[in-house]
Amino acid sequence: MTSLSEGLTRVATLEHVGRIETAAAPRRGDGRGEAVVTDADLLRRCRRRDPEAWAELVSRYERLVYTVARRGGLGAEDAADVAHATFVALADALDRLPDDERLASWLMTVARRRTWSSRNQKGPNTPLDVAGEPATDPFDDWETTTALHDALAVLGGTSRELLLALYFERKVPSHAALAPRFGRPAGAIGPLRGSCLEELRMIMGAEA
Amino acid sequence: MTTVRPSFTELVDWLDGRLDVDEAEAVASYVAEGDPQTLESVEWILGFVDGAVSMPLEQPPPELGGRLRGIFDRLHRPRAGRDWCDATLLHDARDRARSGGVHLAFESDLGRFVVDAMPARAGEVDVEGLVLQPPGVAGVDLAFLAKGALRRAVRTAPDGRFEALGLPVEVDELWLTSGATRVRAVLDLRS
Repeated sequence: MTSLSEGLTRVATLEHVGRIETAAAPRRGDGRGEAVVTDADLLRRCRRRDPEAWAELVSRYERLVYTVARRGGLGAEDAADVAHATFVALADALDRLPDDERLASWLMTVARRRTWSSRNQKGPNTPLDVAGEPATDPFDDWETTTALHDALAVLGGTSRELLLALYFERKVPSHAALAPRFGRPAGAIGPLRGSCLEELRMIMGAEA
Repeated sequence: MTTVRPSFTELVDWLDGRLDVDEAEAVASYVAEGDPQTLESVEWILGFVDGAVSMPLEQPPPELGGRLRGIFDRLHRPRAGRDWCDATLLHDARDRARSGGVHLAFESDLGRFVVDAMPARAGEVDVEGLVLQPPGVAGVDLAFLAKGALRRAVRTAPDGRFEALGLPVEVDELWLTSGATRVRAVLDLRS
């Protein structure tokens, strides 16, 4: 039986050997006929100094990077500054990224490092500022979490957005509330979610 | 007892409590049969949900997006306009005989700052420095350029320190940006 973490490990391997569709051409997305613009596409455009591509990357990853900083115990202002420093690091590293297909985990790792650095500078006794979070390792199971976001990035497009909306929000929205955003009737959100998850699972190489 | 294997979407709906009673019972009875393929799907879905809820996404302050989008423009926009001011060189010390290090100190609208460069690999220097940031300034973006081309971008730590390792020694310009304030300093990192 293949567990999620085994599948995630496998997806990283598959990406390296090129068995997963990469960014050479936009992928077809979730059956909606949507051409998915991959992170690698956007990074290539950023290297050509395209500010719109940069804005799209910010739009994709702003919340994730900010979340890592908040998760690491920073207050809103410091977390915003960590996000700022992380995107400066991305601008700096555009030509040196180790793997364009794994931008999500790269950003998360930089943000995590910056978060610890910020906390250390403010003193080791700085209280955690994560309301309601237990006093455990805030980055427990980091490998799984980063690999999951890398896989979501490969999924891309509306499929990624739908899964983020359904599973990564503190307050899970109703299908009816999501329907207008995704241009579908409420009754179609469930099946769409199922097919998105199935595609994600396939990406992870967890097919039975 | 059902003999029809539930679809992946049905399993998702079942685990999410979205099936009506009869459908849910049919799926539950099939899962109870222990079909390996079905159990693997159930395990995967549960693992995904666990992974997702372990780090829900936070909502950043509304102004953050604009701030992050602006980083790219500020690093690549040609130095022009009235929002720039030049830093004044206060101190220039070069140790040609021994370490080969360069120590520069400047005065600017963003406060005083120092830049220390030490020779690294051939044609490169390791740069460390400190910006004495005005109160309320959490960080300053720094851009090192050579002949107008961006070679490195860093942001100061909350205490104003910064580091840029392996910079080409040809770097001849430093931009400092905080909010609307932009400062330019002429650099010569050759000892």
